[in-house]
Amino acid sequence: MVRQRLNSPALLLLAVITAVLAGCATTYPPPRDEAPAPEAPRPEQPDQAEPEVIPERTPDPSAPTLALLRQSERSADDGDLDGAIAYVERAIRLDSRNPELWLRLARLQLAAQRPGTAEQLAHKAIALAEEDAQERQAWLLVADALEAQGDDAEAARIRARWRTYRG
Amino acid sequence: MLRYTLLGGLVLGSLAVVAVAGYLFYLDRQITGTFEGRRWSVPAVIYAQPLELYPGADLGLAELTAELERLGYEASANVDAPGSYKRTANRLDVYLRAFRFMDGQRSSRRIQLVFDGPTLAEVRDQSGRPVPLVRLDPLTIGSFFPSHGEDRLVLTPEQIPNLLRETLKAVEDQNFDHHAGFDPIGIARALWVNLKAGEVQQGGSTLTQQLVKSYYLDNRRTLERKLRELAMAVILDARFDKREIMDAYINEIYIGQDGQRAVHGFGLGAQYYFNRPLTELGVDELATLIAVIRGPSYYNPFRHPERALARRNLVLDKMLANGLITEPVHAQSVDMPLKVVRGSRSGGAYHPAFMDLVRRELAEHYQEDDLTTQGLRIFTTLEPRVQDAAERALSDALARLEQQRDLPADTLQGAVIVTANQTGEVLAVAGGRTAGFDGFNRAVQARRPIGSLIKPVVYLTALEHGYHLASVVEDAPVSLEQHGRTWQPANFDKKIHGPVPLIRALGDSLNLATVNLGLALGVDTVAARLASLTGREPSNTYPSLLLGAEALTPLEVAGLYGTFASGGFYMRPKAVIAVLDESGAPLSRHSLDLEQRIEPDIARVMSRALETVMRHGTGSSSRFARAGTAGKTGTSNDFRDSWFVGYDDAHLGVVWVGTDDNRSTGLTGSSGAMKVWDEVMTHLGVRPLHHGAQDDAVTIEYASGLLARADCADVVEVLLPEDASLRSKPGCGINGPSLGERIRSWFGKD
Repeated sequence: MVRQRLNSPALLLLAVITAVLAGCATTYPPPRDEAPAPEAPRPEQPDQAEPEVIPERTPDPSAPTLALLRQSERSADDGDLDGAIAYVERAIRLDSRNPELWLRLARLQLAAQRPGTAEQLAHKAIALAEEDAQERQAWLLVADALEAQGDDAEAARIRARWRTYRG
Repeated sequence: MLRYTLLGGLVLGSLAVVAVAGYLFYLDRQITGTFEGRRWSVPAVIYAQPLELYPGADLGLAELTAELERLGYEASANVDAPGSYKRTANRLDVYLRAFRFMDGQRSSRRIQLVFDGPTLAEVRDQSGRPVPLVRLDPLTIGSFFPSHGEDRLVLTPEQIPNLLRETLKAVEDQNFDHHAGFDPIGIARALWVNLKAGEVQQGGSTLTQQLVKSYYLDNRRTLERKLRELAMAVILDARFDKREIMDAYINEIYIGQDGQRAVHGFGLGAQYYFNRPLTELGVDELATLIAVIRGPSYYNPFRHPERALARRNLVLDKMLANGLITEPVHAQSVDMPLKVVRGSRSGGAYHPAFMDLVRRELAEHYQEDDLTTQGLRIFTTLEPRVQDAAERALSDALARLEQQRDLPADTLQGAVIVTANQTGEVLAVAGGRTAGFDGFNRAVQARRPIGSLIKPVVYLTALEHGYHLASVVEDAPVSLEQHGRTWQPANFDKKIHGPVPLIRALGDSLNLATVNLGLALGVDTVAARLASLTGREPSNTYPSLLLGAEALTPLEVAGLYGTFASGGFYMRPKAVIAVLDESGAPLSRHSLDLEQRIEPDIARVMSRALETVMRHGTGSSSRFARAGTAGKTGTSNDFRDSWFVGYDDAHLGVVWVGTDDNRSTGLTGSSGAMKVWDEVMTHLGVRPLHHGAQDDAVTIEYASGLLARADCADVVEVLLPEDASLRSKPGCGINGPSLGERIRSWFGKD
């Protein structure tokens, strides 16, 4: 809060009147000109290398994404679902074709009461799935999301289809 | 009589006192309100995506150094302060700045980065322990300052170096601690000094008066205004602490002009002139800022470096004379050059087209007023590297096209959007060829006929209605009544190609085959499919829709093609990740959202077909035709619009080239827009498209669609449904395993 030094209007008034009467001398304002300066040109850019095809590489993307998933879990444990979602999204930016990450995101959105979003994210995980087990998990999540949206029949149908699966 | 006169005088006098008192009361309300209101009235600040550093990242030493320079990090021998770095053969030592990210505060810290060619190999902390992931602080790409053009970045009292406060007093207002808001002695001294010098060397206004003046930008020098300013200064001084007034002054004072943007306060001033936070500035740099406030245009260090330098040294002298700095520091500082950074990213060059997109997105959730005053922090999807690539590619490639085609300079215009394939996040937008020019944003606003960019929608509809890529359609003349006129489309090469497989009709962008296919499917069916993909009803429902007589913006095209690139999921191209309030609490998060609009298996077939467009079709003259990319060209009638959309495993790029007055450019999609895309990808580097393990492609002859061995001439790989029955090309047939074994289902993986 602001600390106000002078609260009496009378005192204030007196101070102002005295001040105004005392000094009406001409002041020399500094030469503050408002003329706009030209937009500064952009610096010269160094030449870029010739066309380059980045070879397919197999770095271990798991280290940074795992770190983010751990943070996501911590946030979720603290009840901060949106924070948890933000960490998984950061992981997806680093490794955007990883079905596990999309599945994780779908789970969190379902927990955050956004079943429509969760359903679509689970479909994304299905599209990217490379193993049947991943696909099954994602379909079961679709079923949960459908159920949360009131489509019990379709949810039951999906579960029946994937329940028999042995992976 | 005298008594009446006296009484009258008394009454009049009282009335006058009441009137003055009323006026002062009014002034008091006004200035106090302004002071309180302005104190934390802060424009929203917009950040780009921070660069993520982790072992294995595609990031070379040179690239990262460029990024550090963009952020205003200074090369230094010891790396002993936040915002500095040291570069050795294959290693960078970086002292990261503290930054409040979306997910919390990151304190400043030292890290070591080791590179292996184009890859970041190791990330370690100060004691050499490996770190899985760390972020650079993000680039500030601008702020939403109010329409009257003032931008500022408010500093808290802790962020203000005391040297700044003390020097301001010494230079601008020696009696600041003692006067009552105005200073007759100061005025007299200024008068004397100026008379002696024969020019205005000193101002007589107190800092408080200057602050008041800065609140009510008004340059008329009337007596009424002077008196009001004076009264307000006295009121401010009476009402508030000296320290509060000083800090308000530091945050408020006009310090430079950046085009339309008036730069206010030392916080933003430090960014504008030095591209660094105020706390990182040296004594000499601080002195430069103090020198500039006397006349930001007169002492503009970019335009009048000699004046600025002379006045800076005057400020340094004052520092020394007042015992604020030591003799050696003074000696060292006066020897320093000005060190201002011309066109620093955070001050000079914004990305107005991207900012426009951010503003449009936020307008759905926020009032204009909240954006300009609430101190919001907006985290966006912009990747500065990609943005630079897009801007440079557009301006370079258009200039080159004009040269090659003998077009007058600046005839062509264009727009570029780059998104991340799997998330739909917009990484870069160029709304015109002049980067940083805040004008018509073609990427978002220019709605142009998309020409052949529509064809994948026609072929998708066909795949969803029982066709496959080896199905044969007739490339034969068409003549239809439309709008009471006869519509007779032709192929680009004016030839008629007879029966052709779908893959070739799409690859070579054959108009007649596409129209015949579309008519067989029904124009309404194709129109409905386009609407379900874009979420927008096409305005044209006539057969000419089949050849792209339908206008979309580049942004809408990015949404449409993003659906193909992401395996069938529509993602609205988005620019905002989250909006945080001043305390760091999230106001809104714009999380990843998508909607399946194409069956993934069919989307995969389409994406492979768009790869064929690059390898064998209209995209084959691209520098990256064989590098594992997918794309489609588009040209509207009379060469008015040249379009290209291309993607690799990471980035989707949409390019439009044309003119603002809709003239013919003589450019096709491949001779115009694709050149720009090539240039963008040259800067970014291509990451080849990844094919899923279950994709088992079949080779067919491009011209005929007949099954053919991979070693036969003119063959392409396509994905076909299991029940597709194909004839083999004579002499080129497949022996051995049956077709059924070779072609795996694309209807399901189970």
